[in-house]
Amino acid sequence: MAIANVGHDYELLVRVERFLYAEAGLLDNWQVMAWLDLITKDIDYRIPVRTTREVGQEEEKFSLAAYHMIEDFGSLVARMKRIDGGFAFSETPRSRVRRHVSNVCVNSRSDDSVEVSSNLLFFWSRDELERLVSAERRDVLREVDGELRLARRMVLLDHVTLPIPNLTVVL
Amino acid sequence: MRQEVRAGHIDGCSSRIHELLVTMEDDLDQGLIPLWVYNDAELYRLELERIFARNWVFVAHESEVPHRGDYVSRPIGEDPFIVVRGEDDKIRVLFDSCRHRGARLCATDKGNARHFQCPYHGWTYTTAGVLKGVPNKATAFVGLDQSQWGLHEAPRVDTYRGLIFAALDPDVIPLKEFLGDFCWYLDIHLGLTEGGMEVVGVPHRWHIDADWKSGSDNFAGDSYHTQSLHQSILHIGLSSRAAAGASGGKNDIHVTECSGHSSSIRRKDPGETSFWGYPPEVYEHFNADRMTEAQFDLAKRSVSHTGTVFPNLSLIHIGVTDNPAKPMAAYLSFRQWQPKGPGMLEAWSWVLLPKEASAEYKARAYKAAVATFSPSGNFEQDDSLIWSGVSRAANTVFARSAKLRLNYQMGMPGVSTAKVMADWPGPGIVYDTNLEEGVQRTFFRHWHNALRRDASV
Repeated sequence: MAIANVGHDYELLVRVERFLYAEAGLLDNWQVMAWLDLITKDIDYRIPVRTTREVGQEEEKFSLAAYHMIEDFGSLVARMKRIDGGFAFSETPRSRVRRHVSNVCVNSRSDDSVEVSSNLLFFWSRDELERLVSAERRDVLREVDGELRLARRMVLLDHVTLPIPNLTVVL
Repeated sequence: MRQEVRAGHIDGCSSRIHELLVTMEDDLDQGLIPLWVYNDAELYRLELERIFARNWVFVAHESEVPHRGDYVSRPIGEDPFIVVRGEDDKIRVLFDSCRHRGARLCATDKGNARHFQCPYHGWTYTTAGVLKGVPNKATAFVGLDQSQWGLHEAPRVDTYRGLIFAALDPDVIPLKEFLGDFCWYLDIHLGLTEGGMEVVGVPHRWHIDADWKSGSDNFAGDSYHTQSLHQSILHIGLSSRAAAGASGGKNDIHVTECSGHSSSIRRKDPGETSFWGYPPEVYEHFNADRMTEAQFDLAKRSVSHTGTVFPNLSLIHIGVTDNPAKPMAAYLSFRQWQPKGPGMLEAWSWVLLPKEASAEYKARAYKAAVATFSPSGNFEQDDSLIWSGVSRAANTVFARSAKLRLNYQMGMPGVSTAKVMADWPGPGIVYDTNLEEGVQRTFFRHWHNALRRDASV
């Protein structure tokens, strides 16, 4: 069913939420290769570096040049293969992680895609360390063969300094 | 021969620190480093005072503050400073603290300012640090000589090929002397083109539960770890074996004792062109007239370099990719291991590219940089947790009570087959292999000398 034919916003919201929760579940359970099935081949995935800027220069707080991640399909496949390959020592054994997704909003829609924003609270724990990463995510989900797929994601961090020692998979 | 440790405290140090300062030289001669130095509260305070407050410390690259009024907030050790280009075009490093009550002046990381105003009582300073405005001056501060109450600033600021350094010790040796022989190598990274290297965007910053020295130690030339820790990179094809595979290749060398700085270099065979993997459209801008023949020849053969400028500035110059289906792209990254407490650091990483490179190349190389050396870097992800493990073991009763010492012996006579290259055309004591740890002993020798400078041991 094409998105434009979805009659009621509430139904669409439920579909979107189910997609985001399913996605978070796959990642939390380290099904990283399966996660690649949820994204489009032309995906644009970015986590811009944040800086604190003056009032009036605030539009520059998320860099348009510097990113913690700036990914396309091929680079994401490489990252997931590395994690899945058994020699990524940063995830051997796996970190204990949980993605709490909330404040899901469908902001606009076109014939085949929806713009969605959500909040993410990412819990990360490894050895004796425990940390939280907080962010807003702005996604474009596209209808592909009757299923929603992630086509674009911008992760807007609430951090100037990332509080975790590495970003091994996507947020 | 171990020296007798005198009783009592020297320079306010505990007996453990005192013993370290006395015995470290003998330990280093045997290739040994006490484990506990990687996480100790008292030693950390001493490092802030004797290393970060007494040596030249990198604060920014000139391309980060290109216009008058441009500023960035930067630490020297843990102390907050504002690096600002004044209306007179001069770069100053101002202490971020109002002269009236000490409040923070600059709550932002970067920007362009006409002045800095303290929000507490409204004292206002120019970008040159001059006290310009004092509310109610005519009555409340009529006798105040404003010329005496400008912002404090780092007494020494100097640049080398775009790198801005500051020193809090007015009697520090000149920057050129501090960088010393290592300029020969920095020239190769920074001086190849007329326009020089430029920073892309803003630096990555991330927290690591590890000692700042772990970063300096690793990038000084830990060539031995790549084949083990970073083997996943080779499995998925993000790097060539030549750039980051097993160490011990016939063209791999280590630069030690280079004015206290060190570097690990991987090269192609003589006569081959590599330039780290920059494509011809970029390296056609590299100008042999800008350096000696030996320097340019090294640049031409270079596959990858890492290095550490004492105390906490490291570099990597390498060609890698974010996707094995795409060609390798070269970039230079400077990284700084900011001390953030005992056993804690904040990593900062800048990506630099030749000014003359096309926008397309810069975008491609930046992606390769993020995918390899950044908080999400497929290389760097693995290093940070290893260093946490070091500081975890260092901060133990056992490490201190049993005086556990680490093996830094590779490359020492009788331990390995590493040989000094008598015919090396550049400075430093250069070994004919990267299977040696003189690069890291160099860092710790300089560290020890800095700690005991002016101390009576």
